[in-house]
Amino acid sequence: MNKTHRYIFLSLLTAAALILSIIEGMIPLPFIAPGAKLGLSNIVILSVVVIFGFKDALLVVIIRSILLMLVATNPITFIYSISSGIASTIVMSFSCKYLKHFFSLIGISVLGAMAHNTTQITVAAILFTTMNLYYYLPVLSLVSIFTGCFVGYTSIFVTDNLEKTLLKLGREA
Amino acid sequence: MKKKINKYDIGLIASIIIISVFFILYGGRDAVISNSKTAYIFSNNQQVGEYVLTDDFKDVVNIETETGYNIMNIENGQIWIHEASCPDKICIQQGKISRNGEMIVCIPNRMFIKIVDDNDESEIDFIAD
Repeated sequence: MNKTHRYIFLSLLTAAALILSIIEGMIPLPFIAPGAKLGLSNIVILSVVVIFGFKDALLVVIIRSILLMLVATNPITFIYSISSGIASTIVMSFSCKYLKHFFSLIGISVLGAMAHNTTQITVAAILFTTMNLYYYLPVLSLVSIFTGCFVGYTSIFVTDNLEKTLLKLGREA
Repeated sequence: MKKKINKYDIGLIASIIIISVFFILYGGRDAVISNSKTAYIFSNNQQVGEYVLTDDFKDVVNIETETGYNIMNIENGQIWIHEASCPDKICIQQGKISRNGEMIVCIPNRMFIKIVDDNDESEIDFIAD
């Protein structure tokens, strides 16, 4: 895979992550817990972590957050999305590198979702200057287990297909 | 990379569920219903309102800042937001709160409401902040 192929795939995946984030904003899950989300764009981020590695995943997360701010949300949401995105990317790539003999993608995705929630609540606690927001963390963690399993299970299929595509591309080139 | 869910995944998920349920049941808020509760309304990290919640107190409060507005109702010792300018309306979905330690948070408008039981002294340092 040469440089151009790599950049084309990364920009396509960034666009996919952006679109998934926008769609996700339209379908919240109010019946489970307010503020909880499916984390659909995490499917893309996790696949990029697995296939392209940490640096490219970080690039995708940052560009996704900036574009999401410009397209759909506001600067305050941007602070939340970029900090939690970076934190979950760091946790997921760390566990991909050192814990992959133990966990499958489902476990890694659950860990990433936990990091996402914890960072988001920490940022909210800093902005609101109160520690009381942490009482909401267990509720979000419970929800994030289900969404994390869903994201991890989907990522298994995505990485499978993406790897096949990249192999095919490598043979043709 | 392992492709299927294995025992370590299940262990991780089970431990997170157990820890979360433990904290939901025993952490933070207690369910004692008391007659001397106060709702503190904060906006931009400053206290803008203080209402003692009793069964016969009824009021409609409008909190307006440069980021938007939240209109809240107080009735039957409960407080809830029934209209807000924020795009996601999560503050409205959080519903009616009436117990010690419960909160309504509106992140876009940087506004939150917190109920403090006047008999519970452990919460005082929060207000002094």
